[in-house]
Amino acid sequence: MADIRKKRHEIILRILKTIAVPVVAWLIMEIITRTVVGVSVIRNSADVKTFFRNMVSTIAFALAISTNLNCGRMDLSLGAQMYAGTILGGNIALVLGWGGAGMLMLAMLIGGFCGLLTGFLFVNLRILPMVLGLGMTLIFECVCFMVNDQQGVIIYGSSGFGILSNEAFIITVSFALILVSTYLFQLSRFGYRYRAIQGNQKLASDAGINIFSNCVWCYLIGGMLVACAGVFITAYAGSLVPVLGMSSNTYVFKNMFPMIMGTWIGGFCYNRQIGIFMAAVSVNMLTLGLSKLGLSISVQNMIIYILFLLFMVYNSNKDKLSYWKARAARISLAERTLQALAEKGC
Amino acid sequence: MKKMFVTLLSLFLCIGLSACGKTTQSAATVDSLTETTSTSTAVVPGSTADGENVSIQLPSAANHKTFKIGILETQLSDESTIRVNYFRDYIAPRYNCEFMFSEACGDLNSVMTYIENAADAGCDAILCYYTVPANTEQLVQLCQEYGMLFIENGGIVPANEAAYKGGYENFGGGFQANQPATGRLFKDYLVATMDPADEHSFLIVSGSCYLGNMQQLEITTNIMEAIAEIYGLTYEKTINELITSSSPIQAVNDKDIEIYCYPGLPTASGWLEGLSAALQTGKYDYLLIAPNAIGNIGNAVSEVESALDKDITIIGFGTFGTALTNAFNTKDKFGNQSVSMSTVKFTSLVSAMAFSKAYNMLTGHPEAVLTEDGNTNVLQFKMESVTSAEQLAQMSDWDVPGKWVADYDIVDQMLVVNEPGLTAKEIQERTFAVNYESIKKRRSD
Repeated sequence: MADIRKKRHEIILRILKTIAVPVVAWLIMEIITRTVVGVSVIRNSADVKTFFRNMVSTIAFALAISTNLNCGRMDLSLGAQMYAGTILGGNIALVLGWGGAGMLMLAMLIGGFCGLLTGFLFVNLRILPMVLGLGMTLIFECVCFMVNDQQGVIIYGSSGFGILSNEAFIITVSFALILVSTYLFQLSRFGYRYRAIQGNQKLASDAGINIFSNCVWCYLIGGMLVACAGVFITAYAGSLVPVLGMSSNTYVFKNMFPMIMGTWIGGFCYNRQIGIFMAAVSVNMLTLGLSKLGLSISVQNMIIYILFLLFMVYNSNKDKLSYWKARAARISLAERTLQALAEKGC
Repeated sequence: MKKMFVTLLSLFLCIGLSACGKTTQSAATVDSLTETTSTSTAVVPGSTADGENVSIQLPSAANHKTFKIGILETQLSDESTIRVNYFRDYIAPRYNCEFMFSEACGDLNSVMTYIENAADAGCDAILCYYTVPANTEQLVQLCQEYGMLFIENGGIVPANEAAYKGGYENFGGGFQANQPATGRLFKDYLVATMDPADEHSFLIVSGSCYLGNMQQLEITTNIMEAIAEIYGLTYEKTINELITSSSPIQAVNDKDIEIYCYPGLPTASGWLEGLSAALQTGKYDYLLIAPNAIGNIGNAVSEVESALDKDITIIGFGTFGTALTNAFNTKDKFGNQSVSMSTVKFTSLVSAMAFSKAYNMLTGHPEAVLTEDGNTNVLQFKMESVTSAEQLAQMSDWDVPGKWVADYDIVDQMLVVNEPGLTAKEIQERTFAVNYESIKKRRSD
């Protein structure tokens, strides 16, 4: 009975820890914005739409980065895959008149194909993932420039794309992403193998797991996820203009913060996907709050990246904190023991 | 499975590679670093109104060795695509020239590398769209070393004054929009359409003014002046102080009119969220935009309009393209056109101005690029304002292959070989004469 109670207590504690970060982020930003400019972080439907749209793109992108990064592969072509999927998928959807849902589907298909291509080249050429990523970035960026006279994709003013700004649709996509990725990485055969590879690639291979096909699947899933993120990024701005010179990598680095924070939060609930969801909520609450303060973009970015840096410092040194805490406890115990012995006259 | 993958991927690569090598009027061609268009033939593709190819009689002006001109682009956009079509397919055959287009050269290093490549490829002149005045003189000197002419997209500012007054024989000066005139388009529109009796609040997107962008400085200054004129107000700070602030700033004034200057690059992360947050305060009903950001803000503004049930009027700088067309054809929640006024330019006219400078110098008439006091001149053009979807449709249909605004008649009028004694001042007057009314008249004739 006591065990059950202890376990229940532990579960509640883990849930509280998991939701603590976004709640604290919201509380801090709410207090700051109310004090400084006298408004809430979220005050009307436009804010709600902005928040959810940015959140779903952050979730998708952070999940995509973590898909490969957790197995030791840093795919730098994810940003370019996002551009390729969104621009090609968006233009096809525009031509076919398939609207926002069609654009999402086509973009994910094309993004998945870009990921598949990258993964296939990786397992066959065995080039370092980062180097391959850089090369693929340049290729995908150029492909994006080849279509639609360098205009990218412009959905503002086109009919049928309003669904991408619909809160219900955005929330449905968010939960679908979390559920599908949870199933894929936690419950499916692919997920078991993925985690075995994540633990030790050599042992997994020796155990008969095809590490190459698993890797290609990871790239494919990553490509689909970034394309999904790209669709919602485009929905907010109304257009997505192609970039060159590896500028697409901006999105990869921008989403590193929620990805790393998500992995950390995921440790509380033993679910990386939920962790990333919570981190996406936290980071977007922070971003939305900062934009309410009327700060310049450089100041906003500086604050976000300083927080990222501080988090990285903490994350890298949290073992030391535990060590110092344990050491202090040991010293204290030793001192108490000595004192007790002294009192007994030993 | 693996074989299927190999086949599929090989197919994809083949299609990709063949698409890269395709030489159509598509913009893809701009991507190649040193794409060269050979033009010894006098067949002009799409030179009729129907877009058919016709053979033309070369003018006497073209009886010379083929001139090779490098076009240095800083970004590849719809405008650069139009430029490629105009130079390669329209100008090159008639004037016996070759054009070599760069990829997007975003920094000084890539610009210098392109110039060196162009020199190796035998270019006689560079038309440079890299507009950093502090680098002008350096680039002029670099071209001088290689024996090439240098003409830039830009005007005279303190940072490049030395290049314009330095007597460089290879420097053909600059070409740019008449920035005060562009700014005045905004001022005139605001003064003409706003009633001083109505109370309005203004969110002014000052964009890159803090970086010294001349065009945006002129537009924002004129907007601020127009508001001051309409309401007879005085700002607590100078207009220059307000619009060159890199942080958002309230333009406090003696009439308590809400005016908020919002700077930043529209492509920067968080910029749109910041703009949306400012609009959501519900204070502003006029959004006046100096940078070319109409395509980026429409959706965010429309959401704020719906959330606050408030009509927001948008006036901003734009260029021909889908974004502007969509913006003019989209109605907001209140049934109004999304954008009330925008500016446009005719790319063929700007390109013709740049070409005339290079061609006049290459044919031995450097006096055609000099001012009366002997300094290198800046050729200017005037932008046009657009206020309706119909007007935009009409104007955007004017400057397309086969129907260029700057046709052979216009270009010929800018070349000294066709009219000995032609001065820079006369070329400028002829350029200014190409405006909305004159083009409309020519088209109707």
